[in-house]
Amino acid sequence: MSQWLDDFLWTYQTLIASLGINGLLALSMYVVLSIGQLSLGQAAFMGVGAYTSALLTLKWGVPLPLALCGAMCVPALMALVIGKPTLRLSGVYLALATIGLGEMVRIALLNLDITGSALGLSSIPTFSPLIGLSVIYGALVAALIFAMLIVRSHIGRAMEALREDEAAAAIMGININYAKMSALVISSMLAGLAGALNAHMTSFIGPNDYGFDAAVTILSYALLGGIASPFASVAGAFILTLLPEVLRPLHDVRTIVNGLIIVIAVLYMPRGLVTWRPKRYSEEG
Amino acid sequence: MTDLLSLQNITVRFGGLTAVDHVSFAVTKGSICGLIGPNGAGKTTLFNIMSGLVPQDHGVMILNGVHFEHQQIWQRTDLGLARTFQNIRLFSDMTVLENVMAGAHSRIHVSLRALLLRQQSWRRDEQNVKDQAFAWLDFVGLRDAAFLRAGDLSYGDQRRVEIARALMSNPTLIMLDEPAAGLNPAETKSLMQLIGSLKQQGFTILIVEHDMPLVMGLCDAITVLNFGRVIAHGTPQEVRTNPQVIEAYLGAKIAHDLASSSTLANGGVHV
Repeated sequence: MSQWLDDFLWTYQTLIASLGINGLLALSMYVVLSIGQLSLGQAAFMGVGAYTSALLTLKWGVPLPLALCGAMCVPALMALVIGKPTLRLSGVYLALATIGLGEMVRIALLNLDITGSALGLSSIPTFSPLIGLSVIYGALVAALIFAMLIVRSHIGRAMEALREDEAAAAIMGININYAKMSALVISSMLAGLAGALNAHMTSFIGPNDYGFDAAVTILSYALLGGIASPFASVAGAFILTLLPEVLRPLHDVRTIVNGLIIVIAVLYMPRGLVTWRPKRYSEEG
Repeated sequence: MTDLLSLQNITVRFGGLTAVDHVSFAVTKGSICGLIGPNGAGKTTLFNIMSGLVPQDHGVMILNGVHFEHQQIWQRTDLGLARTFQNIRLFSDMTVLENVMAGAHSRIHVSLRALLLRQQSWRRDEQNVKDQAFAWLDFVGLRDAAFLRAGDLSYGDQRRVEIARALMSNPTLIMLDEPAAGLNPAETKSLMQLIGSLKQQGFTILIVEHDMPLVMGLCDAITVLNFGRVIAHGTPQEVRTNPQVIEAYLGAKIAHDLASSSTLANGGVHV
């Protein structure tokens, strides 16, 4: 049994880890999309988290758990700073501003000496596979439970109200600036954590892992899965991560079929694959 | 008789157009006040200024003795302002019950800890809000629709949900923006009864409305706007016979003809 588990982990470790990490990234996207903010800064926050944790452990020998906390705090501080001027933006304007943020982060990582410039950082201390996977899935489950408890309360009602009609939501007494700032900070912390966990699983990170491509990939998790519930976005991440592996027997036409499936899903299920919607109040309450 | 709401010299300009021009009026506590005027007179703009969606250029607004012209939109809800919209703005993908419960947002003050741990204080708050939501849904006659998607209701029912949602914040002043627009005569009649019983429960109501039988039948006082200015204020009877009001609605020539005929002497026209 133990032998079998070892073999299984050895073969699929990277894939299982990516599933959990991408699930966290999808949740990070869900948090901002669920209040109607098309913010594309997730890849940048992920990069900042990854570099923070990697540098803390590499250069200063900070223990891993503490480094992970740092990987959540630094992006959160960044979100607080950039949140202020971008709060007033919405829709494509917010998307553009946050893409700009992503480019700034990427170019900074590419040119700073401390981040290893274009070479990135290597031989980052790693988790042992089993502990690494436990931390990743522990974080994912905790984040999902947290999200569901929030969604099924008055905050969940406020979030959906905000997504549907910002002005009407404000009239209900919802402090929309506070809500947007909170969502951005929580989203940045989730992305930072995911970035750090990824860095400590792969032991190498480079500046181009966190560019525009990554931002769009993270967005596509939430678009494919939908934002009807936190589970929907995570399901989107799982499907998009698994699909290329499942289609491996198709050899040459694999990427074509992969793309085709995504296009068909988005065309025929514009609200996402998972449309189950939790009640915005508690049954017992 | 005290003034619940008082507006003084409210002015807002959109570029070169003065949409609301030094508007001053007051609403007596416990009354139903009508705000009427031809299309484009600035009625909805005035509502938007009061709720904070449009910033005023200058002027003073007081509710219950508190100046609120510089407050944020959501703070005005805490203060006791509630409103509905001319073009219904429900959260259409949410259920009717969730919509109405969302109206109570400003009244829920539990800590995040109590919420995450589902503590007693949070459960009690949610239960109270849910009970009250059902009570207001009963009041507007829509309890059976509680679990339907709000966007699927008929136009008239959506208007009622909006009123129930506005009531959830325990407001002192309810602003209704054309509540009868798009309703058939039977629906309008039952809406009038609903508004009348809100007054009996002690709410103060400010209505923008084009349906004159409704305005004349319900309102204790009426303010008439034209081109952003207050042109008349008084009881329905006074406003109905005011030559300036008739002129604003029907044009100078007809107003003159009417004035010279005996119509005015017989109690005015239905403007």
